[in-house]
Amino acid sequence: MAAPLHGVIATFDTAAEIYHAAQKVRDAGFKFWDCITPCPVHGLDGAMGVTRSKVPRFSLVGGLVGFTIGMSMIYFTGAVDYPLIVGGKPFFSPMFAFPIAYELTILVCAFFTIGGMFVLNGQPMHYHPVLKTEHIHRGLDDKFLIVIEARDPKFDAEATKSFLESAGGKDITDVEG
Amino acid sequence: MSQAESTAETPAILSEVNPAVLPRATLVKNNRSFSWITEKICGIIEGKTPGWWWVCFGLAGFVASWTVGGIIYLVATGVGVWGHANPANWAWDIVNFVFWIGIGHAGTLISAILCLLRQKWRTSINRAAEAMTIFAVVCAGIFPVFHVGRVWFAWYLFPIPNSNYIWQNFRSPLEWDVFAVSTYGTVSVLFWYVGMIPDLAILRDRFYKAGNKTRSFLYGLFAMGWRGANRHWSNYEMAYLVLAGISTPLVLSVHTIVSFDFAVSLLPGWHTTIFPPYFVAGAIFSGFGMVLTLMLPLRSLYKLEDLITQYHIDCMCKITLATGTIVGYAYGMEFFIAWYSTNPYEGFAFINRAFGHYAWAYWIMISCNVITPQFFWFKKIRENTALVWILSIFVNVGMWFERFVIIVTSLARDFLPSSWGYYSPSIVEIFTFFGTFGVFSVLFLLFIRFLPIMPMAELKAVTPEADPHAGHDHH
Amino acid sequence: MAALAAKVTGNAAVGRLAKGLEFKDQEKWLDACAKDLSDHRGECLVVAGAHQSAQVHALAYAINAFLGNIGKTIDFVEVPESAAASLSDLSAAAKAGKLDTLVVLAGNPAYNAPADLDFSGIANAAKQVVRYGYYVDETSALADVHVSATHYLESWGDARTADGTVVPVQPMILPLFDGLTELEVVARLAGEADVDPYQTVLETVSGISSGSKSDETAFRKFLHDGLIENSGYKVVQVSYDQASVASLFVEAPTYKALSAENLEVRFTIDHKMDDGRYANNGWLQECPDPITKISWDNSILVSPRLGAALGIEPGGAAIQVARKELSEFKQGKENAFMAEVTVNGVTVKGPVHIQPGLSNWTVVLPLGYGRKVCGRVGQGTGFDFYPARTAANQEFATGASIKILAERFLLANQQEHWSMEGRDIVREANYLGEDGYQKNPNFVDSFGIESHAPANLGKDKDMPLADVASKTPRGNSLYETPDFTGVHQWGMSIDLNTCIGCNACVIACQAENNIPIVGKQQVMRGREMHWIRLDRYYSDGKADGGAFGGEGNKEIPEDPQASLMPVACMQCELAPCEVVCPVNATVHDEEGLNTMAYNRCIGTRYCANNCPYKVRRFNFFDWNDRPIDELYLGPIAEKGMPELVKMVKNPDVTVRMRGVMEKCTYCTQRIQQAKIAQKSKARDSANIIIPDGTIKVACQQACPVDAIEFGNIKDPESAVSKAKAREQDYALLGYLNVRPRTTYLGKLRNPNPKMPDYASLPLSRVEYNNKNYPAGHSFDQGHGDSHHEAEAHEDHEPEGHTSFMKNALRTGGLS
Repeated sequence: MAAPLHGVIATFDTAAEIYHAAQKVRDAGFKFWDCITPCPVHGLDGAMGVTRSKVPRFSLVGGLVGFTIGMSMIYFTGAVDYPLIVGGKPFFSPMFAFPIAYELTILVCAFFTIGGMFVLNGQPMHYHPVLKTEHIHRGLDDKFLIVIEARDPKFDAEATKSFLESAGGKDITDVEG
Repeated sequence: MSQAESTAETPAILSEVNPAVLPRATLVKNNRSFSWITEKICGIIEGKTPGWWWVCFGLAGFVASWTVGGIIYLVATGVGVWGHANPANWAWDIVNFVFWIGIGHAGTLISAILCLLRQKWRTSINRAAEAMTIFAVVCAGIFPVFHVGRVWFAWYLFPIPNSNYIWQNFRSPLEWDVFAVSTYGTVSVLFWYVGMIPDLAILRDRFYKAGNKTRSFLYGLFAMGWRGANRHWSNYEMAYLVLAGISTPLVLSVHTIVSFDFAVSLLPGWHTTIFPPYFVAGAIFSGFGMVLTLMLPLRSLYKLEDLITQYHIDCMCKITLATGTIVGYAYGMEFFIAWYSTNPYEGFAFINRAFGHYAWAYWIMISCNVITPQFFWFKKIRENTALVWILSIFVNVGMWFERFVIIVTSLARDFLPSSWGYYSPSIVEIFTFFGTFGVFSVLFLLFIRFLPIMPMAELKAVTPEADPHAGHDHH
Repeated sequence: MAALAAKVTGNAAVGRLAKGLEFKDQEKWLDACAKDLSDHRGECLVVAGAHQSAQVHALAYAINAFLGNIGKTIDFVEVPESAAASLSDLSAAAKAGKLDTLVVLAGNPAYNAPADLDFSGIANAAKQVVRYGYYVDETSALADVHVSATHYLESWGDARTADGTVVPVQPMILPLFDGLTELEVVARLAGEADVDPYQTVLETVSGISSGSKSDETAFRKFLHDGLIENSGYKVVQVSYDQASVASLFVEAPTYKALSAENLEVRFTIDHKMDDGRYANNGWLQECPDPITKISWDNSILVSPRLGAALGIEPGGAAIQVARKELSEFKQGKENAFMAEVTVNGVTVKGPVHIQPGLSNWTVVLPLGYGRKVCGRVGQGTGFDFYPARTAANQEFATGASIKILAERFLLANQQEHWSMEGRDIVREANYLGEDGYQKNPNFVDSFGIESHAPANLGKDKDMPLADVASKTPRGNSLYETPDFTGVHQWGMSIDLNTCIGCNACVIACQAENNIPIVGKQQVMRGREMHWIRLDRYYSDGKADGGAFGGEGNKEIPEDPQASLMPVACMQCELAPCEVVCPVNATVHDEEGLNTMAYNRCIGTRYCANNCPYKVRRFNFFDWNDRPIDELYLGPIAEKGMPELVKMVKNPDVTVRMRGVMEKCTYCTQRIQQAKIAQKSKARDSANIIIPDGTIKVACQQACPVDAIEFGNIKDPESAVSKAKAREQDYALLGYLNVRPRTTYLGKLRNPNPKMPDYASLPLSRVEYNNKNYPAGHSFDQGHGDSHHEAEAHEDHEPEGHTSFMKNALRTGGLS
């Protein structure tokens, strides 16, 4: 029984090639596709039509959560739960509470940022059809790949392959699901 | 060249004046390809462990055992096995802590701050520098944890419910330290790890292809299923940028908070507002010294001259020079303000540093920190790798002595002369400190053996091959 | 003395006795002194030290008689003649073979009898030696039988005080180690078969009080009062008999001048060891000598002049930023030269310590150390100088010489630096003289950093103390400080004018608060645990105001003024130690105490670093749980406090483990007990305020001169509030705005302006002026006609400096 088709994959030799090819794929109206590159290629997002990443939203929330935790923890412990006279200092002051609140801002922001990145990337995803192809080894090394998924409405087993060939792709094969 | 091409209209003046095009320094020499980079870095991990590695590892392990033994003896017997006494209740322990934390800061500077400043030359050294940061924080962390009289109660520092219902004192700089250093360690590990994800993926696949399923599984576990997808790269790059963006204020704040350990107290010689910027500059200074100390031998041993070029060394030397000069300025300014304040205790504290019973430490500090980096003005010296390496060692020695001078001289002679004393370290203390170099080396050797010492993806990104607009006449 | 006597009495015959004893500025000194005495006939007193010869005492009495002091400032009492023979008689009897049984009831003659009497020879000559003693000591080693004594606190007995009053010896506990009481032994020796010590004392006291055989009431009164009234020696009328005194004197005596080759040796009973009996007492061994500050050892004291002549003065540095130390300190340990002193034909060896203020050619040999047979604590401490002491020269001898050896010996000196460095630490004034108390009772406020800085309390600087104590006004601070809401606010006042530096407070605190001893090795490392310490400073006016120190800093003072200051936790209202403790182990309580929660302390030691007074003490090892000579063995050392040591501890006070910080708590256990007692007494009423004087903290209780006042400063009528209201009240390092609850009363000196060595300012003030006002301040340097050459320290200011520069140059030694 043949495995379901995941999509087609094409190899490109240079960053310039994949850049132009991506533009073509974007213009052709495909939605469920991706480029695979060994390093981030400058401008490829625009060529693919990918909007700005949403990670910073997570970061902002994280930062605010961290700051709030810091300030309220210090306020609660020092001014509400068990006030102690320490060196004649006030029970709470934003001054002395600031360093810790600041550090917690950064810490929680970091967690939310990375967490957000994983959430948005759908990671961890240790099994993915592309990882089973031969191409991926060069794709992570020194070649550039484009994968167009079968679930895309504009996908056609034959037409998409020839389309990629016309865009400059080489070694175009099916990707099993 | 590409710049001139991209503008639609070239102003007429340009053809008259014919400005020279300043070439950007090549960051990867000899036109190395992506696959060369991959092979080079992965080759270190995949290949057989070189003999020198075993020798170094054995030696490092032996030295690290000094710290292990010293700490066990300390906890079992009491802080008295160290040289502390009235009035110097902090000495080598806190000097070592600040020393190691300071070294760690250069890693974050290279990773985060240079990233924000778009200094592409950081790419060949940032992974090792980040690793250095983490291992330095580990070594640093040993000291504040174990210098306390009752380590088994160190958890009192954390705001978790406890049986005496007392909360922590959030006014105390040591409590700030707890949060700052923990945050710094955590974020540094996260940043380092996130940076490694694409490289771990490469290793995962290479080991799988080579048939080593175990190692493939281990690397793959941490690679999170990375497949180089550009949609992932998009989020990844943004996350990396945000992390760099928050690591920058983090590193500045962490060493500021460490400096608050002293600045918040009332001792003459400690209680001064110059400490935060002075400490941060000093941390970067010592950190770059350590980066040079580590990377120059690594460069020779693994033949990485094409990736760590003279340009890289040049940049590092210049930063060392700049921060060293800031530190020298701070020394002068401290003296000036102490004199200007006309406070007899302040004035004495500084005269005593230079000419009192610890004058020997002071002058070592001055010669290593102020005079040594000035050699980096000279190109001939910057190009002499051996000399740069030796000078980098002096930088670290000098920075250790700076913390020693600050901490110990201010404590040894403070307000009431009846309390004046002299501190000298005990054997246990000395071995414990030198042992931490072993701990650091063990971790670093493990790192270079099992993890990619350079970020392959980032390196590739700064080669011309990665530039989609290189067009048809890229060189 | 003879010259003074001549001057005072006008008796030329006496004057002839003084020939050959000239000293500097003699005429002037004698004139001034004699005039001062004569102006206060019947109100003055001349006292000769106990160590002086009979001749000197006779002269002192002559002066007192002439001045009409007898019956006014001095009384003579009739003391019953002692029928006891002397040790010399015993020695003669032993040599003659007349000794049968020698019973030694007290003392330790084998160790401290005059060496030429050869006690071991006496003991050997006797057929049997019985020793009755509490400790096995050198005399026991010579004895055939050692009878164990009970401690005096385990015995019934009686005694007479110095003035003859009869006082009881009453047991507190049954004997811990069995043994016989003194009365039982003496009674048995006297022939009584059955002795009941209680009965014996009862009968004796009854006899003295009421003449009857057994008067229970009188006995109970005796025990209650602690004495029998009017049982002291009777005062008698005396008159000076010139003729019989003359037989003591030799007309026109000849004296040989003292020099480095002809030294005077003074044997002194050690301040802590007494005649050696306390050698095994750890508290006393560790207590520093009040002046030398050396613990666990004695040392040969030499003057700075002699030290320089012998070449043992430390070299110092090329740039001497602070006063040169008295000795070379190797990593905090006093590295003393060993020396041999030869006197009376005997040579003794010991470490040498330079003692400022000691007469040039006098060497002091403190006795009581170097015991051979004493317990574990005293073994190997110090050096025995008794062998040099003969019966003829028990107090002092001349004709001694000293030789420095190459050997060195480390001494545990608890105070390395002796100078105040021109800082306003002990604030002093003369009673008369410039800026003296008479003209300026507020002298403590006329110098120091607070005197030219805005008041700490800002607009509230005139708020009454009782209000400041509870409202804690913010002064010029950026933020409000929380109020102290307790009904009491504790405070302490230490009078530097009365403090004599005896160190009784140190030991009292140690006893009350379970403070451990740490042993000589750890004291040398600077880890002594005393919560209160006595700082001792010398001032000679020579502190150099130069920027990088100067020549003045290289001098060791030959004739300084000494200032003493007890320092314990100041219980600062705005305590810097509290701010920095990360776990809140030290916080402030409602009544103004800086509390220390031992069980919360994790031992980061930041509090000790931030304390400007350095009064916090850290438990570096398990001083209480491990033997102090096995500290470095860690977990394999013996564990646990010996039973006897446990019994010493005060059950009201925690015994601290290692890793924990501790400090003076104003005897919080006594405060708490008083509060509880007051509350139980008050029952439902609101009268919970403790009456003044109920609580005496340990140091206050032990102080023989009542220098320490403690109490409630919220009550303006309490003794401590009154002490703090006095004009000389000041806070040590007050400018830091830590607001210490312990304040000091400045010291007054009262030198006679006519004396040749008069300085119109105390020398510590002279040093302060030198350091802070190098030249041209309105206060003159005040050397007067001091015999410290008035070589000016005024010549620092080079010409041409503007007054702005002059002010800017006023800093700790920069010019």
